[in-house]
Amino acid sequence: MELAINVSDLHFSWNKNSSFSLSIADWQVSRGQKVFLYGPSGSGKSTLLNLLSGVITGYTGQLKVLDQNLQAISGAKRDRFRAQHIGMIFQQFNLLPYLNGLQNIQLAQHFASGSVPASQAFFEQICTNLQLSKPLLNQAAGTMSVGQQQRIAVARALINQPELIIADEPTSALDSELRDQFIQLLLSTASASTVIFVSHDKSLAEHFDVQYDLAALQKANKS
Amino acid sequence: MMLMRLIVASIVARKTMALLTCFSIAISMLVLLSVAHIEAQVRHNFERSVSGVDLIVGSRTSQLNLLLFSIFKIGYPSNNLQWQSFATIKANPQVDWAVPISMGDSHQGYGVVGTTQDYFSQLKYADKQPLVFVTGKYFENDFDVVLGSSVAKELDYALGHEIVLAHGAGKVSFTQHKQHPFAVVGVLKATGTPIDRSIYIPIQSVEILHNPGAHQNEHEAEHADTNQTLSAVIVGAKNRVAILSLQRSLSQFEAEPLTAIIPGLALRELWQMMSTVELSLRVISILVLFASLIGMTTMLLASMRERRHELSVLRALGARPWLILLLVEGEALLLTFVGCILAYVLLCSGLYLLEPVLLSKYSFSLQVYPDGTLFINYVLLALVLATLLALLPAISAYTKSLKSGLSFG
Repeated sequence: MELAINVSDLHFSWNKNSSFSLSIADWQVSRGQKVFLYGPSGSGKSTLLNLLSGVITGYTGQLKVLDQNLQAISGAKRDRFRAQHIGMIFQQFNLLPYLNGLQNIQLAQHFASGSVPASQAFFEQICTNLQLSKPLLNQAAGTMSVGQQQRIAVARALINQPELIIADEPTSALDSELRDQFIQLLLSTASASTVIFVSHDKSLAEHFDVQYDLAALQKANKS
Repeated sequence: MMLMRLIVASIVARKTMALLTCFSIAISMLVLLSVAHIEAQVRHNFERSVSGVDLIVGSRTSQLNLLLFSIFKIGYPSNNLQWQSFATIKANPQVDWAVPISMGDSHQGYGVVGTTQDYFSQLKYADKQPLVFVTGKYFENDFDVVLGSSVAKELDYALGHEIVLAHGAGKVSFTQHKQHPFAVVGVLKATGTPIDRSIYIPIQSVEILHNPGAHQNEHEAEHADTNQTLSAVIVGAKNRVAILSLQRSLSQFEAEPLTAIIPGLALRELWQMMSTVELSLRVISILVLFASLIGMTTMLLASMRERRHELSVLRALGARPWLILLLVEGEALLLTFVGCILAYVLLCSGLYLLEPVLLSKYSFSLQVYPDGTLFINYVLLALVLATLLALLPAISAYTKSLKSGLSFG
């Protein structure tokens, strides 16, 4: 089975004096899996996501994302890799408020340039799935509701057809009735990708194939 | 292209702060450009007023005093020189032409210059352009008067208008020479020099004004020019090589102590005197520019906090860290450039409004459009300074985006 994420003996600390460090002895995620990662704030979630997306390096041990050892390639290649192969969705503030919805989506395409450009048909399919109307796409992101912004963010994360989607608490700013609806929308639209969904809300875990507890992942190392 | 679009959109989203920054840069650039432009214009104006004059001769006095009262009508002659001296100067084989001037009277605040017809044919302005009459011609009779263009315009005098001259230079004078009204026979074309602000009468009439009795007595005879005293003599040399030796020989004039100056050199002395003032003005205006650019840097640093998410999103999408650096630098350059353009527009419109006033009131001919290379040099200076100062927020944003990673919730 091909792996989307392969971690062994990973260790990282921000600097020598920092009391906080992240250690994961062993963790694998298969390609196409929809993963729920329980990670309340302070659990090392930010650190793990920064490492997975290749924004920071300087760890020891092994970390392979989509079979790529991110520490072995240059910063420029890492940034290009992230643009082309990883789609990211934040808790909120996903969009540049001064661009409209469409421009925000196009921004992702711009940075991923070099990969196969998304076909118009694929774009329209995403828009249909996520219920993105033309007027919404032309609306300035800063004036959209949080729900609308998050749907645009999903479209942007998917536009380059990435193999891996990393979502950090994308539902925490949404109302509870919108929450399940949003997760269904995300999972169905991203059916072809591996999804790492981080949340502190365990009740959402039922939507996913597999669930991990970040604290437990780290504890396994220490035992 | 994408970079430009991001910079512009981001600035527009923070328009109040951006506008204020832009205005502050515009105002400081306006100060800088105005100082440089007016400095250049003052020099240009002084130089265009002494076009074609090789020497100015007066009784012993300082270079500057002689230059200022004879050409620029600033200050007064400290002493007169004799008509005989003028005759001797004119007879000098190296002298091409010599024009006497006598000053001291006024009309409505405008200086009256007693001179000869040669004044109109020999004096030049700007790039050796001759004086031209708009209407009428030079004076022929004792009570004829020729007006400079500003005088005619401001006082609204036409040909044939009779005017009364006063003794002394003030606008209000109690000893008006009412017995001798003068009639306007000619009006000169505007030159943009102090020539525009004077009234010209035949030199022999100056003596008549002051000594009416003499006039009565000698009316029949040829004018007794020998008693005439002069303020200065304007001299053109036969060739430029002779100017220096001519100056030397005139300074050692035997009949009376004289000062002979070369206007260009005297002006240089004037500029040297002014150079400390000019320098301090320049230093101050550059400091003002520096202050407003530091203000911009402060604004950029402060905006980094609110742009934290924005930069995080860009990094998450795959933007290189140097793109973050370029975003900050680009914003600084764009704000500075727009500020410079704004300053240029403000300066040009200000000069455009000021130009007619300066010309008519002070005969100061102002070039409305600042010198292009001067402007470009200062804009480059501002852009370089802005780039350097913006390095502070830019590098801090760069290292932050590289070291601290994305800000997850």
